[in-house]
Amino acid sequence: MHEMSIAESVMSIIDEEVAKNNGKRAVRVLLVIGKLSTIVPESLIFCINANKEGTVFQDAEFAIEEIPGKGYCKECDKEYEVGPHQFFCEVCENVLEVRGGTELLIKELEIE
Amino acid sequence: MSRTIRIEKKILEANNIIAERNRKRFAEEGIMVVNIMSSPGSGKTTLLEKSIALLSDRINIGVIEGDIATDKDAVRVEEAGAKWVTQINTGGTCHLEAGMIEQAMEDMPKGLDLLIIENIGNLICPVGMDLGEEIKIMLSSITEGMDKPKKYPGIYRACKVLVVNKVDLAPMVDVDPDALVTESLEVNPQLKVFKTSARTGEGVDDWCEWLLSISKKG
Repeated sequence: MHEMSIAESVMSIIDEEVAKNNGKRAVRVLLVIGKLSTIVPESLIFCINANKEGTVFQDAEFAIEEIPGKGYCKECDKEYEVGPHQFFCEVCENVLEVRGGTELLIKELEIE
Repeated sequence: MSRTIRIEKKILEANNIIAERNRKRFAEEGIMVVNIMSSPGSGKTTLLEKSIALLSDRINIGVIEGDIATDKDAVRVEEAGAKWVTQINTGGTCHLEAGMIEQAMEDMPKGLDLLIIENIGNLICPVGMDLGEEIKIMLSSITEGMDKPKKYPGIYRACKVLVVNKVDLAPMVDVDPDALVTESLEVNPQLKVFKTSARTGEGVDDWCEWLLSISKKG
């Protein structure tokens, strides 16, 4: 659980981008969080909410787009959706290569 | 009037930029940097004490100790003979970040051969934070039980090296170190494995020879 330091990064990126784009405040923030990123979206939002008073994003809506985990099995030559703690092929039990779901980014920012 | 900007900015980009800066600096100065991660109480500091005692006459070792609080670990490795030690207290943050390492390096002298970073004891949070290190090392003590590799596969998969520690306690805890190695290799077949008892010194020579071999770059 290191959502607080992730929240700090999110907040400083919003500050920077609002200033860079000559905005007054952020209206909506779209975050992309991969399901294998080990970040719990609710905890992240909780941390941001606890720290947003008096900031340029204090009234902003925070939206989250979750990206499913994607694993690839070399033995089966198959790619499929995997859960956060699934590291082995569901068919042959070999180790899966992670091909998606570790994303952690701010995708869009609506400002005014 | 509001407008939407697509920024597609990685949230950890700030950390990654500093990590790259650290990596470049380490390469320029010829320092091999390892990041040791594990649960609390797995024996990281004890293994470091033993390693420093064996290696400090042969190479220049710097140590960065990461803890939530206290300088107990820094004191221990200093007493073991480490000349260049910096203690980071994160005050609650559950992992080290690249910026903390950059700052700690300000107190380090030039001419280090090997820098050992002892991360906060935690099997989850330090994994995703690039510090600019070259090798991530996982310490897994047999007293933690057999199930850790499969319960916390992320950290086992992120590391290149596994040290199975406290092997002297195998008869007391009914855990076979070789079985723990097998479990770990199932999660990450590429792991280079050492088996040690930092307490008795068993296996520590092999581990130190390896540290010596990686720190002599070029």
